[in-house]
Amino acid sequence: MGIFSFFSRKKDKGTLEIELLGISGHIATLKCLILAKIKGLSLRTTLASYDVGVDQINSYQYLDSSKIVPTIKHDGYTFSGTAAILTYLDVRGKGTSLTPRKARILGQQNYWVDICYQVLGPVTQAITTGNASNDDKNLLNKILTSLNNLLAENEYIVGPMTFADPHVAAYYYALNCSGIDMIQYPKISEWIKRLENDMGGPLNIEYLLMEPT
Amino acid sequence: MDIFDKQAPMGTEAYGSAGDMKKTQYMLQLLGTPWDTNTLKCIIAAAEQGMEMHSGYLDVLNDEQNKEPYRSIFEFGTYPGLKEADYNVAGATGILAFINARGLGYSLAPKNVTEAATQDFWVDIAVTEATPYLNVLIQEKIIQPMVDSTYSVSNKAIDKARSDLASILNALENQLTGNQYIIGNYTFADVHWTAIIHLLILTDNSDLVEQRPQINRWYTSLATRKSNSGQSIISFSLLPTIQDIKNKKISSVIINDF
Repeated sequence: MGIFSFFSRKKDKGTLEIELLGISGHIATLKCLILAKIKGLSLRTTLASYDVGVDQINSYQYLDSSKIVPTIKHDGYTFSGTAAILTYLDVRGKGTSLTPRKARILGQQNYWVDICYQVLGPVTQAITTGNASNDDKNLLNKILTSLNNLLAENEYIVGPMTFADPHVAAYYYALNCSGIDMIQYPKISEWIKRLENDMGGPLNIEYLLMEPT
Repeated sequence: MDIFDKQAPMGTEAYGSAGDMKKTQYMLQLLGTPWDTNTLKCIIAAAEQGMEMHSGYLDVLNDEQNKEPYRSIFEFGTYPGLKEADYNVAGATGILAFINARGLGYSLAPKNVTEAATQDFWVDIAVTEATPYLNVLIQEKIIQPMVDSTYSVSNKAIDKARSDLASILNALENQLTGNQYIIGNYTFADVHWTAIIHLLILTDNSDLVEQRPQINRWYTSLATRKSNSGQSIISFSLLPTIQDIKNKKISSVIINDF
């Protein structure tokens, strides 16, 4: 049960529960789950069965010619892909929007979202599938060191909590589950604790289980 | 003088350079390449939002993005890169959001949540699905012949990329049916797809556009569309020709009607 029980116990905004179709160990799905927790949203999550490998690089993947994960359904609307889903959940959830008002912070938020897709995603894909080269490991260390330095100065990735936080956090969980030792990045660990406090608790480990690729 | 000042200089004619107050005090410098969809998106967004921006060529063919001094500014070598005074940001996602927030026009991101999510979905398709296939065509038809005059294009790779793009373009054709722009009003989705369709045409694939009347109608209309900020500049006019690409020339955004 795990994640299902956690996400189904909150029902505090609206009468219609948001349905999420995702797959386990999938970073794009994790991003949606993390943001939903931050925003206090109840999700009815279904984990799709699939026989293709998990794509940890892109913001969505096809399970077959017509089925995309992650996908949400709510109030007659259907949205697929991390970008659209996060936008929707942010507005539907509690509190103010995670979109920064200041242009420079907005730019930095999106810079880190870009780094997630262009740099962190491919490295995480290599790590989680056991195909990481030394160059991949060095690059991962460089990214995590950079984030650690950033978080020594900032409470969240770019200062205030923004979309950069659920994005980066999803890779943290996937990497942590793949055996990457985060102890040498103490500021990242402290940030995750702060984030989990905002989320009302950590993501259930059962949800992070990697499916065979 | 940093790499921006060397390769995308403001010049003495830039607004604000004489200390006079203009409608906007912000001066942007961009480094990118004319065959890169992300660079073109930044140029389109700057023109749409009335932001003057001086552009320069980043020599990615010689891996300049992974060398100093670019790396000392952007540690992961992502590009295009943007500078505004003491601020730097790299990557189209960050630059577009920054320009949009700084700019003079109404926001390119819809306020309505379902429209915003629909826009993001179409941006996602552009980035996740269409761009990798387009990049194959750009490599085969533009970049490889540019760096190696003896290069023989792979027709197999081109045919596959065209075939893979067809279903994506069919979906875009359906989306544009009944909509003036991709989701109704002009948004970031149009910025992303303008860059893609333009480069698709420059890689000798205009038939893929002409076969689809809604995409053709939408793309043609952009050629006369005045900017989002109400200024007379037309963002479409700043997109490169194939000769510009061969000359590694990138348009700057110059605003004359304050």
